[in-house]
Amino acid sequence: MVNYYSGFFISLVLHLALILSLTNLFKIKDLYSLNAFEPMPVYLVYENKGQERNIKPINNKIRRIEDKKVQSNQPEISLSTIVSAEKETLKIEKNLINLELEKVTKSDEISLFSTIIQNQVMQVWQQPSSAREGLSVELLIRLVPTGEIIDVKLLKSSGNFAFDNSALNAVEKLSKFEDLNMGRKLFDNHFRNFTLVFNPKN
Amino acid sequence: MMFKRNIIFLLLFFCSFTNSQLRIEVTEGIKDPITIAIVPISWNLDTPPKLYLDQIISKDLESFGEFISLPPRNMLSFPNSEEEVLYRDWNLLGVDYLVIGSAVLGQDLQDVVVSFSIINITRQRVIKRSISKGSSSFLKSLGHVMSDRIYKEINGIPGIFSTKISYVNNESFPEKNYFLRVTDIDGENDSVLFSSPEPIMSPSWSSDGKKIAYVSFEEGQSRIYIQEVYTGKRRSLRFEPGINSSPNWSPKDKYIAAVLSKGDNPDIYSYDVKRNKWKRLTTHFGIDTEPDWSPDGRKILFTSNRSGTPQIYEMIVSNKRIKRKTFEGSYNARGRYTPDGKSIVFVHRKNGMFHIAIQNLVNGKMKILTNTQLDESPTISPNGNVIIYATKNKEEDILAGISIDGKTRFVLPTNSGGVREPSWSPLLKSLE
Repeated sequence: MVNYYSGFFISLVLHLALILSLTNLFKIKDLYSLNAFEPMPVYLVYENKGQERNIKPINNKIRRIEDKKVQSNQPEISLSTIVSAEKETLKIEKNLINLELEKVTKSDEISLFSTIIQNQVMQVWQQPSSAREGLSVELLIRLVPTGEIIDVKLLKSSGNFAFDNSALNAVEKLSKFEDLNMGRKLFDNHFRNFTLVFNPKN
Repeated sequence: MMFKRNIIFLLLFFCSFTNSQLRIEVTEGIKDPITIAIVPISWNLDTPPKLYLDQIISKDLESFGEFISLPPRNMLSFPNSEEEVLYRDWNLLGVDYLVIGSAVLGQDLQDVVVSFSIINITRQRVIKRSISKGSSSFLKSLGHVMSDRIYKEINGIPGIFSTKISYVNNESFPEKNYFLRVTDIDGENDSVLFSSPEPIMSPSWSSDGKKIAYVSFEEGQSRIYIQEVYTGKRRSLRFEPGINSSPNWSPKDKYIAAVLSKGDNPDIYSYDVKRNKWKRLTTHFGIDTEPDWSPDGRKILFTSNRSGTPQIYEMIVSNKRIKRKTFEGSYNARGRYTPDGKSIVFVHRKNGMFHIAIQNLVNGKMKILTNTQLDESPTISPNGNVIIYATKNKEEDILAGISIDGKTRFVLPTNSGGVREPSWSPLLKSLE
């Protein structure tokens, strides 16, 4: 028997919320509820100065009065408030973009420095003859910001002591990672302690 | 039920956050040979032997391209104890491992006792202290035993320098004769186990390393014999009419898989060594031959032409279910399992030439290892790292070897021509 209970419940809640929000039950101003649209005179939208001149003066007068009436009905929006609002949204957008960018560059940096470390290990790791696909040893590496390795711990042995030794040898041979020029925050968050995994692929 | 599942999902979700420590994976390293320095062993004897142990060990370790040995003339010092080792010097010489030791005569004045240490120069620590004992008249085998120890400590798999190889050769002078021979893997200590004017074929070592099964035509037709290596005692298996060929021992030496025709087409049978009884395993109108028992004893690899061309098949012994294993090319034969049972090594024909190939049984990928033309009868070292096979060099039959990654090649020095069908012994425990 398949249990539809939770699915049904979630769908019910979502639909109810949608309907109620459309009727503006929650009184959210910016929400696209039906009441949020104030009817706007069409001629205001299509007003054209060229056409205005062709209309006879009397008519024109009447139109002007009508215009004033209509305009007085409209809430007053000054230019400055519009500009400031525009600026506000721009700011928010900018911040969002910056945040995204920061995220991207951060993960890029992590993978960049990971590759740098990987390459340096690859150049000194002497794979023993017993290295086969499926063997894997995990080391916990502790660094100082200059890249020097201050501590190595065997997190997970491969079960083959010679293979474990080859990994430990490689780290010992390195003793220091070069070219780790990164921000202190990035270092503290990701590279102060990290796991180095040796698993050969044939 | 639903809630339980939700909780599991939630837990998984949070686990992915808590386990966020950076993991850097290294999947490739360098496969350069390891540099090892074997310091000449100091002898506390009045008359030191003419054979130098360090030379035997160096030669052993270098033979498959896995090690480079630093010659003594390049050494800056000859330490005999751990206190005398200057790590900086050895580091400058590029040495990864150092072996030092000293030898004394045993109490019975016949044996030599060597105590030695294997030192990891990079990590500045002794990884193994060991004592090896051997007869002073067989210094070579003592050297092989020490090589095996050193190899195992550094590589994590057993060394194979004390193992042996049996093979067949024929000589036509002074008269036509066939020989079953056993030799060390460096080609020394070659000795004849059996000789006959009629052909000898397919030697196969028992798993305990004490017996060899082979086919001999001495009585006019093919018969399978078992011979003890050290006593020379031999007996024949129960003879069945027709072909009796390709014996191969099961992992615990309880059975021998072989090929019988019983006057019909050849099929695979298994022979119960204790009960002297044959049991049929395959029934097919095609030819089934060259069985090889898997290391766990559950499966048998064999060659069959049931699809029209020779291909390698695998049978589960308990239910006799058969599965084809090779699909590339029109000729794949003489399959042998590697000791881990994960790959097979066999003869593969490509463009009319016969090569040794290896295939991974898990992903089915095949790789041709040799570039010579008429390669046959591959046999794999008990540590799974080297293959020896028969081939031709300028019309002459020779035994050649190749490392399992295909990088190192060598020719096995044998002093007699017409050599064929090598068979590698298991690790010989009596010598360890």
